[in-house]
Amino acid sequence: MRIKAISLSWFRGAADSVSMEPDGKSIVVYGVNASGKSSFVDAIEYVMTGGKIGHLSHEYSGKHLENAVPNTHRPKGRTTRLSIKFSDNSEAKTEIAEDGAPKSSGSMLVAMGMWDYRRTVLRQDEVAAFIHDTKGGKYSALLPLLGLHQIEIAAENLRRLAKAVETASELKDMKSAIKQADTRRKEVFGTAKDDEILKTIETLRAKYCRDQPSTKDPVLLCADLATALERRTAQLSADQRKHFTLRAASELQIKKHIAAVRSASVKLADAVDPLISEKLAVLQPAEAWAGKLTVGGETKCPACGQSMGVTELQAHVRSELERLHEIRSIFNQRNVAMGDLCDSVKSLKSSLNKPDVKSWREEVAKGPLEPCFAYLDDANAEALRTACSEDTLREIDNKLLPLVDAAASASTAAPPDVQRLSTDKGTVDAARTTIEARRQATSAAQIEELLSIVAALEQHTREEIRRRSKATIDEISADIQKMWAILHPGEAIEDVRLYIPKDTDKAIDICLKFHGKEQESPRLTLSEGYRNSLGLCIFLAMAKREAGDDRPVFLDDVIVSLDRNHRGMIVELLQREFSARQVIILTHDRDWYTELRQQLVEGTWTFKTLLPYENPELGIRWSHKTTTFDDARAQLIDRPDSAGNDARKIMDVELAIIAERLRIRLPYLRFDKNDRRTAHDFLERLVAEGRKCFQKQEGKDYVFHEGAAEALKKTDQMLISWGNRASHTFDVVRPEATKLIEACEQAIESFRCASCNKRVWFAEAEGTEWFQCQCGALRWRYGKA
Amino acid sequence: MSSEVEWTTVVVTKAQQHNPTAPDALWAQFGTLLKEKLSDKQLSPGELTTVAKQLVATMASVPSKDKAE
Repeated sequence: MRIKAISLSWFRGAADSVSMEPDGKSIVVYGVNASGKSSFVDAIEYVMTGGKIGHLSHEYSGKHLENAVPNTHRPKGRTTRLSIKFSDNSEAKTEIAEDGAPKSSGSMLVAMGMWDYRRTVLRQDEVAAFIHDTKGGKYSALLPLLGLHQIEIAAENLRRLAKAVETASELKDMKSAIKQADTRRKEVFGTAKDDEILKTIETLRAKYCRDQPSTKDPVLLCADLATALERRTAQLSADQRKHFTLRAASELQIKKHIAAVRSASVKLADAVDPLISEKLAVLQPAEAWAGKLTVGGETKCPACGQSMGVTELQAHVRSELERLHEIRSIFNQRNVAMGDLCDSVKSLKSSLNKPDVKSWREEVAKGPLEPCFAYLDDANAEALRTACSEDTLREIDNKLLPLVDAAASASTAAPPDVQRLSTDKGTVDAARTTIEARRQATSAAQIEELLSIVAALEQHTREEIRRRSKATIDEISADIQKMWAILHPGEAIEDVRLYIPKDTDKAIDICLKFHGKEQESPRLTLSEGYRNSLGLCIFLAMAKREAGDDRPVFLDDVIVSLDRNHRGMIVELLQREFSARQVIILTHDRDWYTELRQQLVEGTWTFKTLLPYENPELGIRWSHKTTTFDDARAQLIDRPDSAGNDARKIMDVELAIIAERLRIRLPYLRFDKNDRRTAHDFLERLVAEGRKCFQKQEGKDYVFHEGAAEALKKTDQMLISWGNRASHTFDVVRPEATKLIEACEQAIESFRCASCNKRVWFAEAEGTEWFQCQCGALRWRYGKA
Repeated sequence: MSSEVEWTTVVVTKAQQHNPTAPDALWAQFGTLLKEKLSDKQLSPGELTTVAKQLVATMASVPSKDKAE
């Protein structure tokens, strides 16, 4: 998937249609600041993101970037549009409406929408962004490369599924019912075992259901008994039924339940009050503290201000969690007690409203218990299940307990058979809830097993994420190390790699060895230049990982903070690691552009220069030259001395690289003078050596390339006179500067073959110590001067 | 990566080793759920409840291996 052309019309700096046409090759574009290079990168980002450009998204740019994307001087009736064509003639096109809304089409639109900006485009201000990002940010940038999207979703769904299982199965209610049944069992059966309880039930069955067929199923046994007891109760006389009902009312444990609610409320208040105070104190400085967590190492506890290590902090967090769990358990106890109280009050209300006790109630209600009955009749018992204030408890205490006592007092006169019947009914009820609780306990155990399975699945899913992340991260790290070693050969910063911090999910960081010492972050020791260099390696390693050789990579002014030596190594890095990818380099650095132009293989790479920007109506314009002399030419009208001086500076760089390529030996100069040679130094040497070394083919023979030698000599003379005047006395006039620029261009071009258009150092020639162009019409002998 | 064992198989096998008594039907159900539903998108609370109820029903209807034996 290689780009053939990026065409812009009235988009950003572009006026009428302008195209960058790499034609499937890698390309280096040179242009001074504001010449419009980044407009092409903006176009790529705009299409990839469906109408967004990160560096333009701010309060002034408008909802659809309508204030930032169109050329500010677009004439009425002209449309802002862009198109990206690919080598297979597929295309993505966008037309931008007046309000900035993009209307896109083309077969490549969806595919480009899948490209990740962070692994396609690297701009000057983004080079070290990955290094400076948080651990979570780094993870999120790498996540698509890890290919773990599905597993991440599954892990999160499993975490939430555990809660859903707990809710759907009503596990909490089930456990509460089991606990209640257990309490009732202890009250009725004491420490009796299951088989002893069963024996008791069988004895009662023999007493009440003698005529019914025998069953071994304890549930059916209890059901039969309950029916028999109901039948027996119905057969009681009115007086017996009164006693039976009053006895049932007197056995209600309202007093005990009030005490349980009070006790749980007190415990809750004791636990919650200080907790709230502490948590408030924690939350206030939490914002500032959260920012420090990413730094690593020791941190200060926001609650007490003490420094503590990660392990200590984890223990602290664990103990806080235990406290919260404890409080939750007290809440549950309170809810159970409130439920019990609610059930008791409802039973009391139901018992004392039965017709069986009507006469007793009318008699008793004439005395001091009248307001108690009134309270019982008005009481909303069900409301007690969810809310129960101390005032309510006091009212129940004062109004309902006297009724229970009165019922108890009246039921003492109950005949013994009624007392026995009531006791047996209680025994059967307790046995039934015990058996029911056993069944619920089996269900609860199954749910808990299911929960433990879901938890295990989540844990192993997260382990799998970690394992796979690590494998991918190790591969990316190996690429980063390889690239770093190319950019920084023999330097004492090694083992640069990504890693997953221990006991942390969704986090990635970078570490390295600095002069043999492990460093947890490049930010601890690396200079800005080195951080940028590392940022470039990380970007390229991620870009390489993402799409193999299938997508272009854009590097927009990324070498700004690198010194000359390290810039030079980028060429090697690109040749070794990215020869199969389409790379689009944009730079305003003339020296680096010249270096790239001389060193990167022509044929695989294209070189283009942009003219300096003049105005929005003219827009972005290409130079027809690949050299950078247009920078100098642009100054001819207003400042011919600057134009001449620029031409001289361009020659200083161009000739230094040519001399290096042709292995010209230059005399040693003291100190840094070796690096400060001028165009004259190189030309003088090239002219001298050219007499023996520079040849062109004439028929079957090679002869001295006199034309080239003349061009070089003439240029040298012009540089000595006009070039020096341009930079020292500033009195060069326009015709002189024009001629100087032309001569310089001609001198540089004299190393290019007119037939094959390749330079004389294109390849090693047959035999030894010869370079030649592709067709062999030009050649240069090195090492024998 | 293609030769690597499917992640759902890895995860289910490991969880199975830690819960050897759970019924086979449940592991089969989890295998399918992980491959299809749980890894497809973030499920809504309603969808999670449906899945939870299905799992609870499976647990209730199929005895654990130790009990079955």
